Amino acid sequence: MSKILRDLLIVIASFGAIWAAFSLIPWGDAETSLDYPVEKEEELGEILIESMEVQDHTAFIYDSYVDSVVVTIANRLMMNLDSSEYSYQFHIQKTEDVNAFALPGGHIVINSALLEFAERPEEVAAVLAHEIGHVESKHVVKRLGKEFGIQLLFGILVGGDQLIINEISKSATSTYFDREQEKDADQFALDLLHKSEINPMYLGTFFRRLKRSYSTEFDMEMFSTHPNTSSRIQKSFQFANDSTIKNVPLDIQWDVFQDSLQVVLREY
Amino acid sequence: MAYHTIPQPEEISKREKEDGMGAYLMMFAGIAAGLPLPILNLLASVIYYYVNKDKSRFVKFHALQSLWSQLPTTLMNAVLLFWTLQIFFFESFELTDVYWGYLMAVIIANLLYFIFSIVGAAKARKGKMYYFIFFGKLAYHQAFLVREERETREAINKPPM
Repeated sequence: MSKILRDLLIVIASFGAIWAAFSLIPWGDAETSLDYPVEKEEELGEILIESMEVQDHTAFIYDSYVDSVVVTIANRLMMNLDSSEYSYQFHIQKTEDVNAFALPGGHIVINSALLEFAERPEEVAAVLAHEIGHVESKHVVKRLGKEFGIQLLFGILVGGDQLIINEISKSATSTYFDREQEKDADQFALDLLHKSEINPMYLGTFFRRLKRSYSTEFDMEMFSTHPNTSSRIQKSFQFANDSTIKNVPLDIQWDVFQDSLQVVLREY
Repeated sequence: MAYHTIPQPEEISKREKEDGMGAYLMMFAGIAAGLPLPILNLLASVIYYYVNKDKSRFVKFHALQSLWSQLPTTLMNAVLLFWTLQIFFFESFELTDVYWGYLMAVIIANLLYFIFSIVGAAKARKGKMYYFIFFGKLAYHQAFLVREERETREAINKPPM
């Protein structure tokens, strides 16, 4: 009988050991050690932006007033971002999807529909803070590295095939981050908003409205990967009644901005 | 503890050998029918055991070994299924490295179980004993142990007085 017990212990211990050993392998972050210098990342981002504009005929909006408003929002965040390796560039593209996404090298693309959908500039700030979180944690380049291989990402910097660039661009602008990465970016956004004296609850108000408006066609990149958008919303609302949160409103006349945006959009 | 002598291959009938083999092969059919709910194979094994346990100790041993080794595998698969559904379908659990570790461990356990079962079936077909770690000893103990009460129990059917 004792031999049977001994065998049983061996079986259980082996299973436990295999489980533990495989658990210690960082499955989710297999590309963490990825070494892709920031300068290269910036070049890659520029290539992708250029490709979006030239190949995909993306309508980027160049309007000094619209730009200045986005810069005002972004500056508030930038001032409170400790030592970033990136020099951020914000691009506004004309499209109907309420969305914003980060490309490699600190390029952040904001869809015009998002600017129309936001009810106040602080909501745009909240979304930007989230995207900055993705950039700072190098989520974009990690994901592209995983998908296309790091060699290919280096390769296109020295003159790559346009087809490959298109594929990478398609992936960078449309595919999803995993849940952990989204959570990281959320946490980053909440902290950055707090530091920037913008109430983090605006992340929640924005998502809540978005969820209500689009719950039937819930297919946007930023939101569909979220395990439970409601838990994310709740987390941000925890700040709503926090008296230590300072909220210094952004000095932007939002309705005036939205009216001018309409005028600008008609030209594109 | 006394054990009954283990029969040698030449002492085992062809029918017994095939029944012994069937104990292992049963689970393949069970798994095919039981996916994705990994319970039918276990049920099939239990039924197989009860149908065959009295045929001979050799058959009983193989049926038991197949049944016992199937039990933890089935449980692990059920836990995996539950866990996976919670993560990807109900989204109430987080996707963690512990989950991936468990997934790998379960895949390995299933592979081992498959390999050992096939070897077990082949050996049984040739009338040989084959002991899995732990489960083999357990099944041997249960199939071959001399049970006093059974030997001395009063007969129910008796000749006429």
